[in-house]
Amino acid sequence: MTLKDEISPAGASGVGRYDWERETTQRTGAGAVDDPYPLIAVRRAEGPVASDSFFGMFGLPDPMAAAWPGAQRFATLSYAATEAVLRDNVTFSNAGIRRMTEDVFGPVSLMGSDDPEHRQFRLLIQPAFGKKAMGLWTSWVKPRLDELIDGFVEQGRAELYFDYCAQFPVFVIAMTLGVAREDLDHFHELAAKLQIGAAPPDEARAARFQVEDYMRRVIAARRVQPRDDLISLLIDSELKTAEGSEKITEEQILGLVCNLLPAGAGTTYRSLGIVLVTLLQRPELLARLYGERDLIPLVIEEALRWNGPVLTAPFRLATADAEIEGVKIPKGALVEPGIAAANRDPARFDQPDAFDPFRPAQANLAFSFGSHFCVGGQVARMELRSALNALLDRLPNLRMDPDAPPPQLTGLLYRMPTGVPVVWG
Amino acid sequence: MIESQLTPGLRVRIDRNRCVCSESCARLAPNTFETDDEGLVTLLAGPFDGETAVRAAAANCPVAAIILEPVDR
Repeated sequence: MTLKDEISPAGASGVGRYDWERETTQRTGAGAVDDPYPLIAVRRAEGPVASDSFFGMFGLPDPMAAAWPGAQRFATLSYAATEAVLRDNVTFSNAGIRRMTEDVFGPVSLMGSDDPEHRQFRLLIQPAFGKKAMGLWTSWVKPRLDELIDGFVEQGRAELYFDYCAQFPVFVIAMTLGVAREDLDHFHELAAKLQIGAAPPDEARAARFQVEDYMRRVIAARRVQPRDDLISLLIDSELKTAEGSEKITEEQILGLVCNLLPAGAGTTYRSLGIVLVTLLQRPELLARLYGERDLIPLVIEEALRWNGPVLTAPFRLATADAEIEGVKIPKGALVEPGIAAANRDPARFDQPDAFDPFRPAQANLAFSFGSHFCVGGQVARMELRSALNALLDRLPNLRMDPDAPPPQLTGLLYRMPTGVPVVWG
Repeated sequence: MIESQLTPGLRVRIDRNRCVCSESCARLAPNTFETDDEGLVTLLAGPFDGETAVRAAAANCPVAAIILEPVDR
C-alpha cells in the first residue's frame, strides 16, 4: 500500500484537498520511513556523531544536498553532542542554511543567520509570542476549534488529522497575518511549500512571491488602519542597531512572514496528529484524561520528546575545525543536530523508547536549543493543549474508528500520522 | 542582570539579554523562575526551589542565561 492510499481519508472529505501535503511530506520521507528510531539507536551505539546525513543514513535522496555539493556530512545522535552543537552557534553556524533558503525566505532569514543579526530580528517578534500576546493567540484558537468540531460533531465519526489538526494552526497564523478566510486553503498550500526541503526550489520560490504579493496588500491596508495583529505590530517596529535604531523595511517584514509561515503551519498540526494517535493507541490513558485534564501538559511534553514533528534542526556549518564528544569535525562540514535522536538517548532518558508521560520532568530538545530555540514554542504548546481539551469537552468516549485502516506514524525529516480516524459516543 | 541569593552560599543571576523565552527554567524550577509579559525570564521572590532543581534549570537553559555563583562567606 502506498502512502497515498494510506493517507487518503475513508470519506470524501479531504480527498484531493491535500495532494500537496502528500507531495511535500513524501519528499521528506513519509511512506519511506515509518520508524526511524531503531536504526538511530544502532548508529548511536556506534558513536555520538554519525559521519553521514540523516537522509544518507536511511538511503534517501537528500533534498538539502544540492546547495552544498561535496560537503562532508555529520549528524549528532546523542543528547550531549546535539546540545553541544546547538549551544555553540559561533563554531556551528546557521549561515550555511541561507544558501538554500534565500530564495525562499528572501533577505531576512532567522534560521539562516547568526547573532547579532539573528538576535536583532528575533527581538522584534519574540514579544509577539510572549505571555502578554498569548491572549490574542488564544482568542483565535478557541473559536476556531469549536467551529471545526461543530462541522462533524453530529456525524459520530471523523478524520481528525485532515478535518481538525490541519485546519487550525495555519488558520491562526493566517489570522494574525491578516489573511482573509476565503484565501485560507490556498495560503495553507503556499505555507507548506515554504518548509525546508518540502518543495522543489522553483515551486518554493513561486510560493514565496505569491505570499509576498498578498502580504504587500495587507501591509498597505494596515498602514492606513492598524489592527491588533502581528503585521500592525511589525510595521511599527524598529531594529536595534549598533548606532541606535532604524525603522523596519517592507522587505524585512515580508522576509519575517516567510520565516514564520512554514514554522507555524506544519509542525503544530503534525504534532497534534501524533499526540492523538498516541492516545488512541492507549485507550486507558485517553479515558483518564477526560477527568484529569492537568495530565495534558505532561502528555504533550512526552509526545514531543518521544515522537516530535521534526527529526533534525537545520544543519550547522562548521566555521573552524572542531570536535564534538571526541569526534573531529573539519571546517566546512555540515552538521545536522539530531534533536529527535537526542530525545531518545538512553544516557539522558530511562527507557527512551517508552511513551511515559509520568517520567521525571526533564527538558528535551523538541523545540531545539541555543539561540535559535523555537520562538513559537509557547504558542504551539497552548495550541496543542487547547486542541486536546476542546476534543475532550465535546466528544465523549473518543476511540479509534474500527472500520478505518489503523493509523501509523511515518516520515523522516518531518514526522506525522497517516491519519486520525475516530468515532465517539 | 537580575540576581538573588539562592542559599547562603549560592547566588543566582539571570541575563535577560540572552533569554530566548524557552520557559525551560520555569518548568524545572517554578518557584524560582517565571516569564514576564514579553516572555523573558524573571526571578521570583522565593522561597526558592531546592538547589538541585535550580541547577537543572541553569544546565538546561538553551542560552546559558542562568548563572550560578558561589558566594564567599
